[in-house]
Amino acid sequence: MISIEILVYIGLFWALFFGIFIFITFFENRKQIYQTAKKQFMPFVSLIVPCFNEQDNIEGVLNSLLVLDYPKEKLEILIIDDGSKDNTLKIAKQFQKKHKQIQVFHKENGGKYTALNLALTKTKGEIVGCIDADCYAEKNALKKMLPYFETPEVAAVVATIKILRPDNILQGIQYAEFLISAFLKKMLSFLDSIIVTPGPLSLFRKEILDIVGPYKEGHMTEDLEMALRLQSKQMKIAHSIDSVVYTQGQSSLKNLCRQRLRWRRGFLLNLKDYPQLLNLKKHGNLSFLLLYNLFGAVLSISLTIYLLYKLSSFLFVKISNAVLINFDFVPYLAQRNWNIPTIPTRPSFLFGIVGLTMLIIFLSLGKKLSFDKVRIRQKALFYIVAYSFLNAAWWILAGYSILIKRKIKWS
Amino acid sequence: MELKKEKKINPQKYLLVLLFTLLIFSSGFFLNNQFNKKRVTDIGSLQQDLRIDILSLETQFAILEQAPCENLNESTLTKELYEISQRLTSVGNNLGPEHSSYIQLKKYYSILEIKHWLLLQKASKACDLPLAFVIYFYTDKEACPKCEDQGYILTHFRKKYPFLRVYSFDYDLDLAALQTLKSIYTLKKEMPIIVINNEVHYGYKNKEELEKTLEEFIDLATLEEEATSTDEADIEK
Repeated sequence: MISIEILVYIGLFWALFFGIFIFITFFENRKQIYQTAKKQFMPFVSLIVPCFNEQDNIEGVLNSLLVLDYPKEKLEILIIDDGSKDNTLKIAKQFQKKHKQIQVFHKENGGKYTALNLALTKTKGEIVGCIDADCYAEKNALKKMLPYFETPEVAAVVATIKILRPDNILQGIQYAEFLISAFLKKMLSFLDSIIVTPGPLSLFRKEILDIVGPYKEGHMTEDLEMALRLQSKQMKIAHSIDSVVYTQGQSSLKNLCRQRLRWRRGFLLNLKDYPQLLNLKKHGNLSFLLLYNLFGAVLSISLTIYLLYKLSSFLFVKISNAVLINFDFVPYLAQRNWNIPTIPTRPSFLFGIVGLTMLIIFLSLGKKLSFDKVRIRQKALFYIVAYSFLNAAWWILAGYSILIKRKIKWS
Repeated sequence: MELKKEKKINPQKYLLVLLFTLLIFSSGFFLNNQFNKKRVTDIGSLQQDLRIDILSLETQFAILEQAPCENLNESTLTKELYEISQRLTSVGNNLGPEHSSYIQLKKYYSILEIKHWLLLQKASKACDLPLAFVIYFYTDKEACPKCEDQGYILTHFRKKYPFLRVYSFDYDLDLAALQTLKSIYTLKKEMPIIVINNEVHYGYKNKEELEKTLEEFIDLATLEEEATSTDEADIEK
């Protein structure tokens, strides 16, 4: 029991250290959260939309791209139909007829990265962007992302991802998660430690893609592989927190688990392919945070299992007590003198409160800095309750699927 | 396009973060220490309360010898006894069952229980109070795995039947008064032991069995009726 207690304290120290690290980074850079264009920077931009069976979503994404606040003559939209079996191609061609900006290409199904690579051979833009077909970009997203390219070292810029219409509890959990992640990603950009150029919306300098090469399969996380490749070549990835792209949240637990399993599995396998990123001397903060993340995952798994054990044994005692008295609670209800439970004063409890406060501050900052207006009070509560358990479960599943070399499906 | 140079870690920043983390950590432990100090004071005050209650019961005894039954404040005394029992449980949870301060408090509490039992036995006869008495002996979890469950069921009955007075004792507690109590009933060490209105019962009894045994030795229905009418009379007063 003592060894478990020590593990709990190591875990809490670990989490507090990370939280304070992020806070100090925030205070250091609080005046550089947003980037405004210093001069008129209007490069030619090519946006790629890879599609596979997206007949229900493609109209939405194209309509959002067509109304982007950017000169039409400086923006081309490339739709790559990756062998869809539904009406995706037909709808895309109808758009092509009406809008000169849009070009449609069709190929045999080969996976998202092959669609992106075909598009890269057709683009004319100085800046190339990828946007998933089930996403909607905010009108000003592109205009707010481009100024980051005025800094010569910046190779890629990523947007803030939010969940479109978070209706059910699960989408609410993802909404809160993405807001926290928006704030953290901004802080990680100051630390040169962004490790994913997400599919929903990322922009690249075309010349960079020519240097580092096309997309790879990347263990079904091509966006993670690309970012790690850029990092391994000492290239900078910036984050534009006020450029928002909306994605469809996973509405069922099964799909959410499948998606997160793919992400975490991709993280571990891609990191295995780029072990040089763990070289502290060469990659500084990034190496530290990667190692931190790996050890953190192990700690989070152990602590969550411990927490689950404590919770289930508490419930077991309560249920067995109820069985002992044949669920006859009448005498207890009649007494009405409820005892106020004594607040535990162990250090672990106090640190837990500090950690929780930090999480709420991260969430509020993510909301404030990305100009979010959705009310998420109750949804945030679900996030706090459920996320640590889900996160630990995903890490366990990812580790397990790697160990048994199981093939996974795209969610 | 320019490439970044090698990314160096800023040791000063890391040191600052470490310092802040250590500061929060040590404050947590400092606060915990302060709470622990307060807990020690709480134990002192619990000991004081136990002493006062013992004296109070002795005084009530003396009064009972002299004065009529109307002055007997039985319900307040019983309520206090149960409150002290709850405080004692919480001290036990914090200090652990083997802690010397906890064992000492348990001894005080056992004396208080015996005095309470003696007073109420006498009072119920003298003043015709509708009360029934259960004495319960338990021991540690290893020697008696079922004792905890038995205790829970007895607490349930204590709540269900307000006229029931339950006194629980640690069989192994080294206390002369308790040895005397055990010798009155010539108890064998077969845990758990329940004494219902002076009849000894050995072994665990589930809810139904215990209720049946209680019914055998105590006229539950009549007592309940009397207790209710006494309560109503109290309210009318």
